[in-house]
Amino acid sequence: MKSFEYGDREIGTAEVFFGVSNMVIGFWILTLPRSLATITNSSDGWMSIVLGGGASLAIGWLIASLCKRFPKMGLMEMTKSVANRATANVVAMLFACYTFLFVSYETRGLANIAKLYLFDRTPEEAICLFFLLVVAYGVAGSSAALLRLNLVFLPIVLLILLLVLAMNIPFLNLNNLKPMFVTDWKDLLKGTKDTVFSFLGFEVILFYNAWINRPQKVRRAVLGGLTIPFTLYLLVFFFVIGIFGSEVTKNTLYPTAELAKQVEIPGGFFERFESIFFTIWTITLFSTTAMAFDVTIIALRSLFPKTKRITWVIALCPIAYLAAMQPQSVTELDILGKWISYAAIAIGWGIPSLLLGAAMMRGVRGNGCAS
Amino acid sequence: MGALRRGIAALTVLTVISGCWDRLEIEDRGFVVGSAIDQGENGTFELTFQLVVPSAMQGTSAGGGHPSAMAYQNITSSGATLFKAARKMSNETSRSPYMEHNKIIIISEALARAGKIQEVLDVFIRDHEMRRAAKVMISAGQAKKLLNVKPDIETLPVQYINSTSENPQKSESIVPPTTMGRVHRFLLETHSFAIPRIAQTDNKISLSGAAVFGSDNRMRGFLNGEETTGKNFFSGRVKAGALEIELDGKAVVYEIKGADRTIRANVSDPRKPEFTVNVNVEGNVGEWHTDADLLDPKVVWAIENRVREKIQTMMYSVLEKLQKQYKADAIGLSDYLNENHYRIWQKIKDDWDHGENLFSKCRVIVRVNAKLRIFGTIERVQRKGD
Repeated sequence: MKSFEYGDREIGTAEVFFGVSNMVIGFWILTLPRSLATITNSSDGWMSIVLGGGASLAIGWLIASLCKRFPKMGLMEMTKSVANRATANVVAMLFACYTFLFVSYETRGLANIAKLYLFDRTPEEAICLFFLLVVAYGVAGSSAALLRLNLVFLPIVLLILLLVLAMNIPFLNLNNLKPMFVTDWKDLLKGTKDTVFSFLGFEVILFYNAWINRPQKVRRAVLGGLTIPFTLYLLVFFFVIGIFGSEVTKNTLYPTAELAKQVEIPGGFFERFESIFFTIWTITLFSTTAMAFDVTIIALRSLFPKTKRITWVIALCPIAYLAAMQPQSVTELDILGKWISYAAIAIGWGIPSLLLGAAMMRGVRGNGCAS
Repeated sequence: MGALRRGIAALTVLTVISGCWDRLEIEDRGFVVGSAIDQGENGTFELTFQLVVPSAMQGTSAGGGHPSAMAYQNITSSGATLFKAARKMSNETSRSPYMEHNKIIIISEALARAGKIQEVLDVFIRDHEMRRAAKVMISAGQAKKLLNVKPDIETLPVQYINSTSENPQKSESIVPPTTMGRVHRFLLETHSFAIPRIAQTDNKISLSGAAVFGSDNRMRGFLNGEETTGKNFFSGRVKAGALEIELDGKAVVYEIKGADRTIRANVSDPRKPEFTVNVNVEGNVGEWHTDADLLDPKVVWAIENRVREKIQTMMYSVLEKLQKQYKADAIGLSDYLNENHYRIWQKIKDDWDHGENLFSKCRVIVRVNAKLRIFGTIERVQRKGD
């Protein structure tokens, strides 16, 4: 079994698995219960999660199939072999723009919440700046190293999240979940849209495909990676509704954070458990943002191969910072997030589906493809 | 050489850029452990915080420090908004109030009756420093007086109140502590609710009883200890307790070891739902002043009957008060309808305990099933036939 050796530029199955999970878990885990409770009645949001999760699993399957069809090729080369060079350039440019805006959005979102819960007096400008600097440092290295980092981060993140849930079991009141099945199907579909937003991001795997060393396993890794956020969202949603009830969830800005806040561990030392929760949440946001930034640079370098990686990092950071400073309030940030999500669905999910369709109709395959 | 120079540069940068924007020494924080809100003059609020004085806390245990100094300090400030009142306190105390450890919020009866509980709690729920686990209580009379009770066992009045409020394991007439998170929910959902009542007698506090709020979030009135017991049976929140009953004119104590309740509703006429509340109680004999033969099944049945009647009477009396006087469904019937008869509830929810007040008209049947399992380690302390 030759999976990977340290120091090479290859990406193994585990990295894909963890990378997909960590990319998907991000900002939305804090707000998803609220948006679902607002749209659906009682605890029916879980059906929206199942529908949205099912949709993303389907798209995940499509994207992984595309990766498998064109082993060792990034999105740019895939598009080139299916269509032509000009289309490939446009696609790469679109992806670069979308992931780049995503970087700004995540940075600002992190700063907002960190300011609300952690640093009361630190200006958001400063939080954004330092976060971006760390992200820039992470991106300056190789992509494979960035993906490998997920192997370390994700277990910690999952452990703490599950710990938060486990310690909330005493507060759980199953009666809050009743009544069930009382939501109109139209509202369920609306909720599905929000859930789909929270699953966006895993399409970055299209770019990392160039270094994936075992293409035949991509499909399993992507789908496996998606089931982790899927289960996590379901669990978190049930816990939030079971503890706060639908009405309170609707009116709480970040219900998942409140869940962490009400944990009280006897002994006093860990009474403020939410600080640990926010630490690990910052970790997931870091990996999400860093991977998005990394993809921006990969896309740009496929357009302009002569420019060095570090040049792009230095050139893009100030722009990302300025873009992150543009939304003036939580509401404006929400609107930005919504538009980025629409863009992600069109660019990240629509284009690969079209590519796969075109590739199948024309019978185009990548080199050395076994199946 | 290059490595050395780079190392020095890195260390310099590290010392220069590291730091903490939000640093605040723990000694400079005024830890608020409890707060009380009263009605001030011309519609203002009067906010009282209890701050811990850490040096005095040490003194009492280690013998050093200032043994005579009080372990706490109460500061009061008033304003049209609570936030402003809290900020004003920073002018008067050397340590600015820090709310993260606020355990108790006491709201005065007057504010609750005026329907201002939402206004009072808004800042407490909104502020990120607050915890949803803080307990909310309604004081009979002035609230800030309660923060001045001199406790004998505990160091801080708030500690005393807080520990007492966790006693429902021993007493059936204390409403289980109601956290701020729960009250937030009560306020958002349009139904009535109850919050523990706190009262002061001499140098003691009493937590027996409850304050009932209508669906308009105005306080309707208090329930006394016995009525609260009845209410707790309705909500199925009795964990333990003691009931005094009479047998042949002598006192017998029935110790409740466990209770549960199930509700069933007949909603064939949506405008007039009928409820059957089944309560199952288990317990043993706690004290026995008669000479009746406890080994006689008839005596056991007699006791079980008395317990049943007693609980039924308490439940019916609180039901009567809630239905006729307060017109507030604080016993969770609306929750039951919402959870189990959702479609019918959607039709009648606007007329439940406001509007047409269907709650006041609905029929509730209480069925109690009491079991006497064991009667302590002895049979009697009196000779038979004395």
